[in-house]
Amino acid sequence: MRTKKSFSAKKKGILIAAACVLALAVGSGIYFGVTKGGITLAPAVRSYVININNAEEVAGFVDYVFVGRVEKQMDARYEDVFERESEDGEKTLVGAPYTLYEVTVLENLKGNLKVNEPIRIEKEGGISMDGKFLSVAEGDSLPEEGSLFVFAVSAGADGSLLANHNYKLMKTKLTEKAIGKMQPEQLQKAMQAELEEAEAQADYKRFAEACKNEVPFARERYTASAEWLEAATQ
Amino acid sequence: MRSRRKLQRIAIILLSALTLVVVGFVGAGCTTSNDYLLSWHLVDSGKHCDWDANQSKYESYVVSGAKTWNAYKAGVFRPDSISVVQDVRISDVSELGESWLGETSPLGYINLNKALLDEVSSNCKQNTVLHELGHALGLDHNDNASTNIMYSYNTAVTALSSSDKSSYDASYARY
Ligand SMILES: [Zn+2]
Repeated sequence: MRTKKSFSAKKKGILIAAACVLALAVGSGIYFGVTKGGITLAPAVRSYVININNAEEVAGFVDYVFVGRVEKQMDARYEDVFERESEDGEKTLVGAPYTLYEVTVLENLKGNLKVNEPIRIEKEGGISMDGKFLSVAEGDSLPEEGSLFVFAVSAGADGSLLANHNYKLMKTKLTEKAIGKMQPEQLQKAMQAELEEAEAQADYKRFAEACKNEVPFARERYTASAEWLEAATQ
Repeated sequence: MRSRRKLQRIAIILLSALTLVVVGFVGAGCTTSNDYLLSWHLVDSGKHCDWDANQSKYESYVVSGAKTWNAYKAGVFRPDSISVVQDVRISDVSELGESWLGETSPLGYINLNKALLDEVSSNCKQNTVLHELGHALGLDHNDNASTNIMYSYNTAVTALSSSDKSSYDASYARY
């Protein structure tokens, strides 16, 4: 037991030392973690008006909660662009990125968005203007193409949708290649099976429950242009 | 087996020595229990954080917030001028659908969300601005007490707590 303990303490010591060496190597200025592909993670910190770890509060704040499959990630746009000069005189353009996604709604948990056809949603975060950083809020992540998520989104005054939070459920098995080999009935069955698998995930259950027990939040509300208009379907 | 153990012992001694040197050097870079620090800050090598809030309607809150932080450590926050390079740009956004009041990015900006900020009291506005300026100084959230400026959620607190000051000491040591 004793040797084991001393070994783990040692491991810890090595880790701390390694972390310190890394911090030293990067210097005493700005340091972020590094992600794959040579892009550095630049995690913004936010102060929220709700507890974002509480699904009931999230469900109450947003306008729509749904299960969606991410079809396509598009380019980012940038707000509040300004020129930043580093201490060595290097100038770069900086702005808050918003990335656009095409998402198919598979099941509505709150609200009533069009299902089974791609709609567009935006998410604050994305690649920085100089292409060097991935800007995403701490504790948050960007949706990935080809995966199913629970999305919590709000509608803007212009009817556009902004994803506040997204929780990954699973990767889709229904890739274009897989679908290409399927008969229509087979595809129907496979889609049903996939949705059932998504519904078995913890985050799905958490939000399905939360949408029945929302903590109300009073603010101005708008309707999404992608909202399902019952009258139009009759 | 024995020589391996000896080697390990030498390795530990070397690493410990290195750790001591490095901890001494980067100071709060490797923090201890009571300080809540981000891995980054927006203070330049001259120990200044020069802000530009020309575009923000909350500029007066920034002036007063900078004064509060500077009352603890003089001269760190300075308004941006032609002669100095801006370290943090403060501007307003209006995102009704977002649940955050303010955000600070390591890329050098603070965004204040008008849609929500205009709905809260002036003390709560001041708290938000003080809090975001704290992030620019490299301070992370500290949820041990709601009296901390660096508490995760918006409050009407507008004075630095002893925990805020202690974290600031630790962050200052690494500028
Ligand atoms: Zn914060």
